Amino acid sequence: MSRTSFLAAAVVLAATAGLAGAWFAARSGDAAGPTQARMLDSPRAVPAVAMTDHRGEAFTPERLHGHYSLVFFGFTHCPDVCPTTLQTLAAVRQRLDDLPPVERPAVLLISVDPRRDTPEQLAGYVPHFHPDFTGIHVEEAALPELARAFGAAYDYTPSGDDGYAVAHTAAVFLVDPQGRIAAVFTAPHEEAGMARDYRAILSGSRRS
Amino acid sequence: MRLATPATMLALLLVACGPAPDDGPEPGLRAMQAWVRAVPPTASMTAGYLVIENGGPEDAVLSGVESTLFASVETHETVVTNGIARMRPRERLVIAAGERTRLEPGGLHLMLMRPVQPLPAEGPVPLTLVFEDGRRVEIEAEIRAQAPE
Repeated sequence: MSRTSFLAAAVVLAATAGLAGAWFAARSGDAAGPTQARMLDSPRAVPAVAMTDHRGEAFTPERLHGHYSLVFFGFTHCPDVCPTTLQTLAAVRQRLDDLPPVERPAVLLISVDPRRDTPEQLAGYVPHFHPDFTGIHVEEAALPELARAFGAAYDYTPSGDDGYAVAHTAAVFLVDPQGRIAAVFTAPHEEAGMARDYRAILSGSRRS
Repeated sequence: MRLATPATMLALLLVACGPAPDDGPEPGLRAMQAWVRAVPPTASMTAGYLVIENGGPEDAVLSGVESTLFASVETHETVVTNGIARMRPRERLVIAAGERTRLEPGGLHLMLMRPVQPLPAEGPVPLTLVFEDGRRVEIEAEIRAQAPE
């Protein structure tokens, strides 16, 4: 083979490979898939425990069906992590405003401090971050089962001025439209990345 | 009339250059970029964040913070271990000589408790930083929904 023919063949091969790569990439939709979210190998159903939303209405797992939900375990007597995370989630939610309503995620704060976080207390706190956010009160006896299903943990330690401090999982969980815990966003949370990952997961589910 | 000597002029010049508004009268210690997170009127506490700069030759130890708008202020640090967020009280916060210490979301922060009245959505929050050696630095924090850019 002459040098010229070899070069010509190499160029054609490279171009074809390039085009094939682009074609495959276009077919697979959003580039790499989620980068901050860790998808669970086996999505887990959210158990039916006694839950009430901040309006005082019963919150059953059926209310998680038909749309995605971003779920955070926190409490209102929390000066730093919880407001910061809710602020980030509000920013994520705003970035997804272009999506049709049914594709936008619901955002839930599940309180790990049911003694202080009554539905009334949650009503005065959660909507401050975004009017569509929902605060969830779980009966103290039911909280361990719910937390376990998510893989979330919490504990209480006495704290001078305030009575007690609550330590809690910093992750944000994604519940799918079948009401199953499907992914975890570990801290630290970054709004652009979370929104991007959400869109990638959404596209993935549209195709399946 | 005798003209001022160079030494006298230098002394006058140094006296004329007063401290910047954030300093207070404490040489070497500066507080800046202070902000307090806006919270619902029913909230019993919120967080404050700022940068403390110690330009002096010795370490400075923050031992307390006061505010006319809150009954109690403590310094804490958020620590995430094995995915669990916990607060650790920092009764003594050392700002090493020549260093800046940054209090920011997810890390060191002021816990501002028991507001004397519901916190407004915006406005100033006066803070006094109290140091172990008796120095005090005053700064006005700004209430904001989120961190300044």
